[in-house]
Formats: sequence, C-alpha cells, structure tokens
Amino acid sequence: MTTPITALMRGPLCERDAMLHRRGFDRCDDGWRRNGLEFRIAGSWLQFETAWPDNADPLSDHLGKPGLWKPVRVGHQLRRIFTVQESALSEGADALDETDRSSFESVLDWAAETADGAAPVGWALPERDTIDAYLPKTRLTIVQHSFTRQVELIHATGRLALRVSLLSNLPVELPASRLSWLREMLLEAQDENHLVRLGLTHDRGQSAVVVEIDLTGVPAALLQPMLSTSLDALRWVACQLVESVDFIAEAGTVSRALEICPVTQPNPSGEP
Amino acid sequence: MNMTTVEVLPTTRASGPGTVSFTARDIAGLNEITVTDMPGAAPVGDVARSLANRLNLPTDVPWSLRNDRSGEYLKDDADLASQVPEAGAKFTITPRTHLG
Repeated sequence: MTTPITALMRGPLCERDAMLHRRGFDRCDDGWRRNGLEFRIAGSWLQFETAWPDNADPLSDHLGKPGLWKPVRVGHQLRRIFTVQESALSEGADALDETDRSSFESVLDWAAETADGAAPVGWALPERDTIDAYLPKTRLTIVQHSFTRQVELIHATGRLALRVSLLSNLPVELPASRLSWLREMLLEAQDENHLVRLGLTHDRGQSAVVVEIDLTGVPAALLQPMLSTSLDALRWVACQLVESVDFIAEAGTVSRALEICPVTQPNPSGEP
Repeated sequence: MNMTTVEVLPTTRASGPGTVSFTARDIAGLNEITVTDMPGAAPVGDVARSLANRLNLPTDVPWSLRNDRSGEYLKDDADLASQVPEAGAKFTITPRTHLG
C-alpha cells in the first residue's frame, strides 16, 4: 500500500498554517496576510510580499539593503518581494536540532525582520572560513566568451552579500535612449529571475552596473543551500547579461534600433 | 616580402575599482588589445581563456600568459592582480605547451 503524496504533505502544510496563524497572519485570497506583509506559495518558491515605496528607483534604492527583498513589476505597478526556494528548507532542516526554530519559521522571521530595511537584531555573521568552504573559489570567476567577471563576497559587520559588477564604469556620455534600453533590460531581468537584484551604483563619479544577492540575516541552518543557490543564480544572470550590457554601453556601437527609446513591457504574471 | 601588421583591437572603457589594466597580444604579434576592465581577483587561467576569445584564438586549447618584460609565465591558478606588479604590463598569450 502506498501513501498518497497529499497525505505526506499535509503534515508540514498544517504546521506551516498553524505557524502563520500563531504569528498573527490571516488567510487571504491566495495566501496569508499580516498588516502589509503577505505570504503565498508561488510554484516551488515561498514568496513574501510588501508594497514598494512610491517614487523609489527600482534600479538603485534596493541595492545594499539587507535580505532578499527586491522590486518586481506586477502589471503596471511595483511590488517588493522576498522569495526562498522551498527545497532550501528541507536541506536546511538537516542542520536543525530540537531547540531550533523550524526552517519555515526562521525564513518567516528573516523576511519580516529585514522588511524594514535593517539587519535582524542578534543575527550572527557567519565565519569567513565557513562561507569559503561553501563557495568554491573556481566558481567565483565567470568567463562568458571574451568577458571575465568576478563574484565579490561582501562579508562585513551586519552584511553578507554576493555581488558581480557587470560593467565597472558606465560612460557618463551614454545617450538617454541607450540608458533607457539598459534600464529596461535590467528591469526585465530583475522581474524574471528569482533572488537577484540588478541596478546601477554610483560612487566617486563612476556608475557601475551590478547584480547582487543579499543574504544578510540568513538563518544559520539555511546558509549552505542559500549560498549555493545564490551563486548559481548570480552566475546565470551574469552570463545572460554581460555581453548585452557591454554592447549597449559601448560608445562605438552603431545601431538605429538603440536610438529609439524602448517601450516598457508590464510583467503580467507578477512573478519572477 | 611579406608584411605583417599589428591590428589594434578596440580599447575597452576606463577601468573600475578592483580591475587590472594591461596590454595583451597573440604570439604572432598580429593582434594586440588593451584591457582595462579585468577583475584582479580572477585566476590567470580564466583570464587567458577570455582573452583568447577576445583575440579570436581557438578556445578549445589551453592558453597561458607570458610577461613580456620578465619572460616568465604567469601561474594559471593564481589571481591576476598578484602577478601584475607594474602598471602598463604587457603579456603574450601562448598555447600552454610549455608545461609538458
């Protein structure tokens, strides 16, 4: 006799629902809601969602902020989402002992505590040796045809992130239409790819195009699966974009198509 | 008499923080490129691979970098920045046959 899959899933789902209820969440159409924080299952991902601040730039104001929060276009509006692959929870569960919170509870706390833009109080930055053991040095260098890029580990008090500079110095004289194409491409990639944030940084008169994943506040039990998944995601997106970013930003590129401003396409599903 | 010309490929944009600048050319001296945006933390082996691509050299063979000034080959598994002490370094990209 075999046990139906639905019966096997019922236990964890009931526990999750009970946990959300205990934490003050109420059921809504397709998930749960507490004040402005929503939670739902989106395919194989756990998705938390809040409002994106009015007038904030979705290609700069989210960079460097703690946690996995990032803007995503939903139709014609922007929402702020935080997603974790459900499989990471089961991988992380192996590292829990009886006194620890469940994996889902720790993710819930991680999302809720970083939603205000601050690192979780009491969060301990993982040891550098531990991180290095989970990030193979050979995978930190990305070679895509003639382009070489390096994944930078940001490991500092209250901050843990992975970042790749796709273009280290965006020309200041870049025409407005080119900049519009670049922004549209970055927004689309940000919409379509989980975890990664894309944007433009400005430092000492230089603008750079970066892709980053911020793991500040990551629960200790999820460190290994989240680092591994994040590195894969960064490498994937960097390989997809690095040539196009360089093409658009190259002053010597002649293209009539690039002289026309792009038409912004709304993201109909609202899911990355 | 055959004449060879050095084709100078387009120069990349100005460098950013953490990047290394140098000039590289193929072993025949036909193509030369000025690189300003190479991540200093990248292993030399990966740098050579991307340069081979940029110089339109075959990518299915391993390549090494030789410092034109010292004549020494750079270590493939060490990061680039640690092996480029001087500004304006010049490298020749060569097939990795010297390692036997």
